[in-house]
Amino acid sequence: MEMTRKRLLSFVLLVLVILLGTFLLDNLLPVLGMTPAINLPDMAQNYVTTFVGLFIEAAPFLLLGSIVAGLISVFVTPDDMARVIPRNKYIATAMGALLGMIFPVCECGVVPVVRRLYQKGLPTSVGIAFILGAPVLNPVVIASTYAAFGLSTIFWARIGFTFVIAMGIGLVFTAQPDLLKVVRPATLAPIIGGSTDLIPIESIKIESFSTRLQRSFGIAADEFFDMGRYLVVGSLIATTMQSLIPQQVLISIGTSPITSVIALCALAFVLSVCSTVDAFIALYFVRTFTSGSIIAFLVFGPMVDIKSILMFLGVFHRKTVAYLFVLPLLAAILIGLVINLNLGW
Amino acid sequence: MNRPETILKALILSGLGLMFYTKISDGTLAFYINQRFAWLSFIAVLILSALALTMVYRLIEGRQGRRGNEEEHDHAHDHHHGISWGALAIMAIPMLLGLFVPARPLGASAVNSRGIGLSAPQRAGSVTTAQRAATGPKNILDWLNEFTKNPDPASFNGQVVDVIGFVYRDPRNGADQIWVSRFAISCCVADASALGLLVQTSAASTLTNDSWIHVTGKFKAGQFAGEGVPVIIPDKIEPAQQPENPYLYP
Repeated sequence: MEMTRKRLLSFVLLVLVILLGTFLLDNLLPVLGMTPAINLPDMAQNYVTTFVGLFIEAAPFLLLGSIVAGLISVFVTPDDMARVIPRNKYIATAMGALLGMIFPVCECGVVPVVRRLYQKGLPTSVGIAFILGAPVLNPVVIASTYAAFGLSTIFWARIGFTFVIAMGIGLVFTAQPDLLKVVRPATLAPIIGGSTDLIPIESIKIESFSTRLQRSFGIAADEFFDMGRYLVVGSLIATTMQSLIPQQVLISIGTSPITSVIALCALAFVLSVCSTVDAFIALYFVRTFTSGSIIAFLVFGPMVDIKSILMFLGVFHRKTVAYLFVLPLLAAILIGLVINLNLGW
Repeated sequence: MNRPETILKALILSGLGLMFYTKISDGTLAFYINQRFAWLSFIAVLILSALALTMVYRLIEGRQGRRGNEEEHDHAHDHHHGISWGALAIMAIPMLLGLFVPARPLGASAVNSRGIGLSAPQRAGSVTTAQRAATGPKNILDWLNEFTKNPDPASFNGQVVDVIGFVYRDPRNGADQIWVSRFAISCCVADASALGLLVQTSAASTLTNDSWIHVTGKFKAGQFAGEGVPVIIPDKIEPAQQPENPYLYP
């Protein structure tokens, strides 16, 4: 009874807030808009526009990723995880690389999700394969790559090489099964704390669905703040780099089989655009750049860029982040060069 | 539970939601991202409102002193490495910049850092030039696509052109030349590339950078930076309104 009344009260409150909010937005904002807005010099204005644009594009994905992370945190138990993950390390790692087909997240959403999965006992190597593979090997990105390139060599190469690299680097991490050597202790705090993670699992059983949902939203909000700061700082750095390195400089390097690969890897890193749309950006370069460089761009960009590096730093040790940067970069460059110099696609 | 922190989180989440909402409602979202992804911003407004309400709910529960086991564990879960004030301040940056810096699309000054493009970005599987031409005159992007298909500038001699864009001056231009330009964006302004058509006119000095113009005229083969390009010989240059979608989407 007490519970029902409280739910009703909070529902009425919610409706009131929404009504009030809509009223304020429609009536107050035009007034606010008329107040003298800050007038910035052109350079600063362009900087702000680019930064806000990058944030507006990426934040929805981070929000979705945070919601998924919150749901995992509340609804998935370590027991579930242990049941689902195969014993064989090769099969487990391959599964990690393909986990994005179930959790369709881009590189902004993948970090909060993997952090929660680690708390639930996901093996290190499977998480690494997931973090590198999921931003490409998920239905959304496969669809956008198809929209941009059709069933071309580039389409298959992107999917194939991403899988190979994600699984390969995941397997490298099987050499270090101790999760604490890979991730920051804070990532696993509830597990290290011991009992803290055990009691809620029991209490979950008696919690109502709506309470659990509400709890997962609370976790999602905290997750958004935890990871969002890396997104903001990453976007600021990416915007700064862009205003310092003119695109034209990178593009002028585009036709050589070797420098084009390095240039597009650098561009992918600097642009920091979401993996769901980078296929369309790669289309810009199709005519002027070598195929190897386009494939390297499409494989490396989603794995590592400025903002994802910063988000990695929130979860992993610096040494791990260095591996996560260097190994995909070398692999992508190698693939690009082999395609350009040996295969001649 | 840390009350000031929860209050600030609620405020920042609402502020970000408000930022997304205002960009959508006053149409300036088009200054930031490709309209194809506008639905993602709607989702962001919904999620941000839900998360802000969750924070408000957390505050109400905290005030009622209902801190049973469950909240204690939430505490352990959520604040395990105690978010700092700095982190909250960082999240306020996009909110403040988005709400208080007036929305303005990229203009002539941004072309300088990118360089003006003489060839169009491609996008397969979208509206083709032929389809779009049926609904109106070719825009700058359509023309650049044509130039790519047909590299001989002289082949466009005499073709009628009718485009809208902003004025840009390149250091390599003569005094009687300007560019009528647009930005093309695939995803968001971070990947904007500047496109332009060269206009040859004695009235060039009267046109200010960044002003929007409507140019009608005919093409004639000309030169830019040693390369042969089709140049517009205008019949008429009129001032124009900035289009609702200032960018073109390849």
